[in-house]
Amino acid sequence: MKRRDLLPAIMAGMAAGGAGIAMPSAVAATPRRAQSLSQFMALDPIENFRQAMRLQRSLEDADDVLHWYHFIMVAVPLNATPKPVVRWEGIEFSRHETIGENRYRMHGHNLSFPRDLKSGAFVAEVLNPVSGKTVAVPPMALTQDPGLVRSPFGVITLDKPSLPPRPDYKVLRRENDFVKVDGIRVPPDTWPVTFLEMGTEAAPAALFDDPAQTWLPTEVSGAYVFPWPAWMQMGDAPGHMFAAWSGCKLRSVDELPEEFRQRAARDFPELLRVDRQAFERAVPDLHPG
Amino acid sequence: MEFSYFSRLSGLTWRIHAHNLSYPRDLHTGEFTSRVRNPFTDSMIDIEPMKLLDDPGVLHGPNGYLPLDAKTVNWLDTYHVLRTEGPLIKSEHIRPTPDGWPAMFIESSCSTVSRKDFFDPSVTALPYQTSGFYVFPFPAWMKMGDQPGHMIGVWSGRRAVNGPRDLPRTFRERVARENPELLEPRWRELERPLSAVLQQAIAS
Repeated sequence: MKRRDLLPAIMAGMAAGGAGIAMPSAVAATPRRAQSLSQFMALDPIENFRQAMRLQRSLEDADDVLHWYHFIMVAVPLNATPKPVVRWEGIEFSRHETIGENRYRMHGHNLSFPRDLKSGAFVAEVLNPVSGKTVAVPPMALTQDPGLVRSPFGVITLDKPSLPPRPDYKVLRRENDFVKVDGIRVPPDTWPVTFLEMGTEAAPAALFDDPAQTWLPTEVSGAYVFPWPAWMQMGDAPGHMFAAWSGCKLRSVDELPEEFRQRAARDFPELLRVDRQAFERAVPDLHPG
Repeated sequence: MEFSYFSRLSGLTWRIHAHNLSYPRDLHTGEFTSRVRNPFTDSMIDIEPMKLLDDPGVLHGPNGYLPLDAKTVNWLDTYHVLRTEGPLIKSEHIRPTPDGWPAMFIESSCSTVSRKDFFDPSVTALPYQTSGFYVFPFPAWMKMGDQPGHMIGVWSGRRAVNGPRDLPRTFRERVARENPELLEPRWRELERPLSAVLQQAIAS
C-alpha cells in the first residue's frame, strides 16, 4: 500500500465528515450532515503500546522504518520575538528488533540538509536573524543516538541501560477518517536539559481497522525544543531553538524525493541504510522492565 | 476551534475577524478538566476554558497583514511557502507578530490538501488537515510569576468545511450549552467602522 495511492482521497474526505477512503475528491466541497468524529481510544496499556508501535513503526518482529520530512527551525531568544532561521529536509531511519514479548530494541539515525527558507534551495549558510551574522550551516547527521528499548512500561535509553523504563506519552484518538497517535518522546538522560520532542502520526482509519496491516502509511507532524546549535554562534545568549516538521512514513529509500536521495547517496551513502551492527553490541545490566 | 469570517473589501484585500475557543482536557484520559498540575511548581491549579474574543481583526492582502488597530500603514510581511509532496499540496505559513503583542510570540502552521482539490477551481474552500505550533508567554493560570521561560502549544486538526455542524459532538454540545453565540460568525465585528489609516491603506 503506497501513500500516494491513498492520501488524495482521504485528504478530500476527512474534512467532509467521515467519508470512506474511496470518496471522490469533488464531494469535499458538498455540504454533508454526517457527524464529525473525535474520540479518544480507551485501550489497555499493552494494546495502546502495540497500536502506537503499529502507527509509528510496524508490528513486524524486525523492521526498518523510514520517516521523511521538512522542518523549519526558529530561534527563540529570551524576551525577544522568535524568528525563523532555516528550512531542512531530512529523514529518520531506524530499525527495531524484538527482544521479548512486546519489547523491542531500536537503533537509528537522522540526516538532514539545510534549505533556504523562501526558495527551498539547498544552502550552506544562512542569516542568523538574532545576531544579524551570516553563519555556515552544515548538513545534520545525527548518528550518536545510543539506542533504546521500548515496552509498554516505557523507554530505557541504552546509555543508562540499568535504569528502569521511563513512561512515555502515547495517546490514540480517532478523528474522522484518521487514527492519530499523539506522542511525547522521552530523551536520554544525557541529552540537553532544554529538550522536548512531540508529534502526531496519522493513518487512514480504514487501514488501521484492518488487523492484517502491520505497517501503516502515515502523515507526521511535530515539533521539538533544543539548545542553540553550535553553527548559530549564540555563545551564552539565553534562549533556545524550536523546530516544527511535516512529513510522512515511507516504505523504503526508493520513495524518497529524488533530489534528497541523490544528495544523500553522494554525501552520506551509509545513512541510506540502518546500521545493523548496532544490534550486535551487548547491553550489560539491561533493566528487565 | 478557531472560527473566522471575512469579507472582500477590494481587489485582493480581505477584512478578517475571528474568535477562538478551547477547552482543557486531561493529558492522559482526554476528559474535560478544570484542574491541572503545574509540572514545575508541582501545585494543582485551576484552568478555565480559553476564549479569545478580543482580536482586533486584520486586513489581509498581497502586501501581508495589517491589524485593524494599526496606527500607521505598516503591512506586516508574512512567510508563506507552497510545496508539492507526492499527491499532496502543503501550505506553510508563519504569521507575523503585530506591534503590542508579547515579545515572545510566534505562530506557524502547515496545512495539507490533495492536489486534486487544489487544482479544481470549483473547490473554493479547500478541505485541509492542519498542524502547527505557537510560542507564547506563561499564561496567568500557570502562576509562574516572574520565572523566565514561556509556553509552546502544538496542534493537529482540520478545517470544518461545513461549519459548526462538522464539530465533534461532545465539543459542539458543550459550546452550545455554555457559549452558543460562539457557534455563529460574529458578523457585527465587520460592521465596526475602519479608521482613516485603514481606509487609506485599502485605497492605496
